[in-house]
Amino acid sequence: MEPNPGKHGRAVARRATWGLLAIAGLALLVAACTVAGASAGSGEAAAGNRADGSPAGASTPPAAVRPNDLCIACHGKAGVLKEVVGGTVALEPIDPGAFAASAHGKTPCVQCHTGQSAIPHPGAGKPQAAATIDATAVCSSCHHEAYEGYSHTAHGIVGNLGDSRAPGCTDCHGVHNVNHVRDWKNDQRAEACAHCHEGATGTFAAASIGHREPSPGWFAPSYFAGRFLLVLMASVLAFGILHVELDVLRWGVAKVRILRNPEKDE
Amino acid sequence: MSASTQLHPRTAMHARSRENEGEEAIVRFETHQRIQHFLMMSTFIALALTGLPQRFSELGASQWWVSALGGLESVRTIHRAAGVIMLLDCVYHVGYLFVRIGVQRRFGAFQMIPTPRDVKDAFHMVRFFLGLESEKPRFGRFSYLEKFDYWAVFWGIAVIGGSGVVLMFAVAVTVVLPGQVIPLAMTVHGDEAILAVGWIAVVHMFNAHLAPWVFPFNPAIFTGKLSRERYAEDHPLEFEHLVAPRPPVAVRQPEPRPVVTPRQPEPRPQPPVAELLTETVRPAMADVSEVLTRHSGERPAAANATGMGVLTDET
Repeated sequence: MEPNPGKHGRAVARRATWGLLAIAGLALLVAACTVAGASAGSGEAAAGNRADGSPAGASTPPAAVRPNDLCIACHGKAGVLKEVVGGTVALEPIDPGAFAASAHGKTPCVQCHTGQSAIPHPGAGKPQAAATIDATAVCSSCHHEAYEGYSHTAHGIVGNLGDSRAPGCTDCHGVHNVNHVRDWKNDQRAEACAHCHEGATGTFAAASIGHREPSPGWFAPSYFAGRFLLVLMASVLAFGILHVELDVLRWGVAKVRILRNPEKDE
Repeated sequence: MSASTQLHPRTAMHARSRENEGEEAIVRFETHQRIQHFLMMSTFIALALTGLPQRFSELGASQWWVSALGGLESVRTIHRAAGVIMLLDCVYHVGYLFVRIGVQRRFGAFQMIPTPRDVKDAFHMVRFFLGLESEKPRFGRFSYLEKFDYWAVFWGIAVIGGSGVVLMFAVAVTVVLPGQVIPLAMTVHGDEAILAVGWIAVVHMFNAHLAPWVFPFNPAIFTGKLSRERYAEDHPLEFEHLVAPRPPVAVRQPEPRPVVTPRQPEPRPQPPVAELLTETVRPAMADVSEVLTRHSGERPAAANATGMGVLTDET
């Protein structure tokens, strides 16, 4: 092993070698666990997202459900006035046909517009009109996973970091004319994109990965690139960190050996 | 190593400048290289500080940091400006290489190319770590880790820089490329960046500055100079080339000598001062002898026998 190891020196060297091997093994184990953990994590995320983008757990409608016809009877007409502080404003009419054809066509109005079952509606004439809903909160009450996924998208990141221009649900998906994801053509999406991304085309809209993690069947290039980089990262960092650790340990062992018998090791 | 791996004579002469403490230092990096590294380093730090919070946007710390920097819009502006400067730095580097290699015919940069020896050195290093080898491998101008660092940046710039440009001009890119490249660029940009930051923060920092035998700071990449001791230890093969006497052309002519004393193999670390002196003096001597020869019509052998012979024999 060593050029001129004494008996003691050889014992120290053997101990040091075993120590180094143990540390190296430990580091590899940690790296392997990291990779495995990351894989399991993203696997779960991929499995949790439904392919058709439909809500996983639609909550049961409230007991006092009024048929949508009743709502449409007033809100489907132009010229309905809403009482607000200091007067009235005309409500934008809802197109009954478009709503019925939308993804939410069979969803009771009051499921989103909670608390509007009572007629006349409570809260009328108050500064914050009660029918104006906090879309993000309401949408996420059914579309949990889409909402979870959203925070990892480019748009979600913008929102996480407190930029006021971050698009919310309705900015892309619309309100009463919301499309089912699978019926949403790229050209239609592009219109929504172009509100912020000037000049967006159908090709650009095709970049929308939705609110899902990439998987082998969904944006496969992103999925495999991510896998590849994960492996690359784990192996390169494991190599580099092991190198650093072994370097320090070898240095430490040499120091200790010099301290123990200074005359032997020059 | 061949003669082409030696530094350019100008650099080698320049290398004998003295540091403040009178300890001799050797020039390791020329000004262009130092500027390139400085630009790379500063833009890298700026990019990491503005990029990581975007990658980990759910964290409270990221949100705090972004608002401290004046909001996402300014963070993005800094990130993009730094990215463009980094890419320009790469253009600078490639242009610099082109001039050195293509125009000036100085081939020092080729020493960055990995060779089978680097693999051997790496295995040697592992054996050294495990106590199976008493000495570290002897490196030339660049160790295998330094080469890894350099080529990792090349790869990183291609991947992160390329995907960054795609993200910066997302709408324009989709005119030519399919939409899938945008999420691909998102993935690649963030993941590769984490690898880069991890490598630089742990491995590069350790090997350059934090290793106990370097700590706290290795000035070479900033001042360009490295102490003789460090140089001899970290790059022994190059060091030997740098300090070894290189015979000028005039002396290389085969001359029958009355007494040929074979030079004793010297102990590696510190060549005697006389040897260094010889090297600096020699070219001058050669010039003088050449002039003498031209003017007095003496044979070159005579000039060689007078000045150069004495100096060489004394060493």
